[in-house]
Amino acid sequence: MNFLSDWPTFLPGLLAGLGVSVQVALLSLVIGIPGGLLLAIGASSRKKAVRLLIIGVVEIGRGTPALVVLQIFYFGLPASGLTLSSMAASVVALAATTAAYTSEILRGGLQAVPQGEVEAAGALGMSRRDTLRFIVVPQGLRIAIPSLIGFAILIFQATSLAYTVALPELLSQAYSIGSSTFNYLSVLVLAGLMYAAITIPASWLTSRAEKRLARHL
Amino acid sequence: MKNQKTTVIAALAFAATALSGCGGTASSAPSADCKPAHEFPTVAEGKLSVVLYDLPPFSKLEGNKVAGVDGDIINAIAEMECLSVSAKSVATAANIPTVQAGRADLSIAAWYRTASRAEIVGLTDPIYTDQMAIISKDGLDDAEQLKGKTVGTVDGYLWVDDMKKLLGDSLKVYPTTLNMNQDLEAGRIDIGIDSYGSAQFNKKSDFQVSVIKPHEAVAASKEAAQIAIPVPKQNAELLAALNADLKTLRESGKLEEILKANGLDSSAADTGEARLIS
Repeated sequence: MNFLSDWPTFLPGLLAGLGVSVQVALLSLVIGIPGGLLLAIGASSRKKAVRLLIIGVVEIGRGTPALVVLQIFYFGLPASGLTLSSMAASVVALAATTAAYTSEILRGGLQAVPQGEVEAAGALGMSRRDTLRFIVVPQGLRIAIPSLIGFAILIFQATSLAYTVALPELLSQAYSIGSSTFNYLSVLVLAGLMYAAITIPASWLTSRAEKRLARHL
Repeated sequence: MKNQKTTVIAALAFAATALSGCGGTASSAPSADCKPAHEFPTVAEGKLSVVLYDLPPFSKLEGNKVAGVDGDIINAIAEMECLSVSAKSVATAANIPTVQAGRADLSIAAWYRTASRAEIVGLTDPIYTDQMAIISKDGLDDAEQLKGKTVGTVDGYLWVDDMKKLLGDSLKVYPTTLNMNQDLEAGRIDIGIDSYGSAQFNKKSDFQVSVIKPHEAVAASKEAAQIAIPVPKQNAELLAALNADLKTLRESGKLEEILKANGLDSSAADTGEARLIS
């Protein structure tokens, strides 16, 4: 059995797994980032109770490892009568982690919008909601984009945690092949290359985005 | 100042202890006048370094001692070889790479003898056999009956590939038996497929365990798998010693005793000729 000669037989299973990984990552980001934006806006609320509650949620979310969140959603919820599929549990858990982490990234972005512009909007008689909608959020998002792409790469890698809840994602498929052939090293190297095939171009995209957006700031 | 010194010395002593060996916990040491049955190199001197994952009734850690069928066998072998057992529980998928890399002398988790596995690690002669079983509420025993149902099984079993082909997406593959049983109880899956011994051990009152009927598309249903202990391929002396010790255990009747003591039928010790499933 050769290190490379088995790769063609490993490929179909791993590609199917990669598809599941990408799907979980995209869904988690699509749900999690808007969630993070809401938390970021809430964290600067004028009402102290709302502010404290949201900061509490964010701190717990950031302080709990994604694996623990995943296990709670998957294994813990059936006890309370809600049984999520492994796909749903993975998406919900990673979206919750995304929301908690990106809220801080986005809060940083929103706060970086020059205070003068907010004051100017106030002077023009714009409501707080319109100031957020038209002035703060569009610019804040733009500032946060490079960090958000960086975080998206981390979430894509974190999809491998879904292996623990029997989701047939990339790492799970690799382990499955490894456990039947015992050829763990070969299959894990191929799986690693597949992760890299997504994350390395994404990293390039981040640095390009950073340079491009810096021109307008 | 003196106190500080004592603390530093204690910390260093603790660190040295923690760093020695392979980090596992060692069971009681054999007596000084013990004569080993064979000579072979081990990862840590005087110790048989074992990795396992929790797979009752075959392998488990009880405190710092290995237990279960494979655990009891290893304890008996260690006694013959005047070694203490140093055991570490690792993730299912980490067992074989640990042995392959020579970080442990062997893994005990009811590993099946297959041709592809024999290319990667050294496999001992067959020790006992294990059958494929279906866990269901209705006592199903035919692979055909599983079509259209949500079925779960555990990574590492011989039938995983064949069952994937037969059942497609309705087969969920779990990293551990525990995970599968949790989902069986939660109702996420209707059926579980496990080894007969493990399924009997974990059985809940509203489920039945049946040995599967031979099915053309599932090789593992046609003949019981032979269990072996994987060792690093380069340690031929260890493999020879284990085979000799296993023969002694079989001939003395100790092997059957171990199987019975762990709730398995003693007929499982009758493995037939050694074969590798391809």
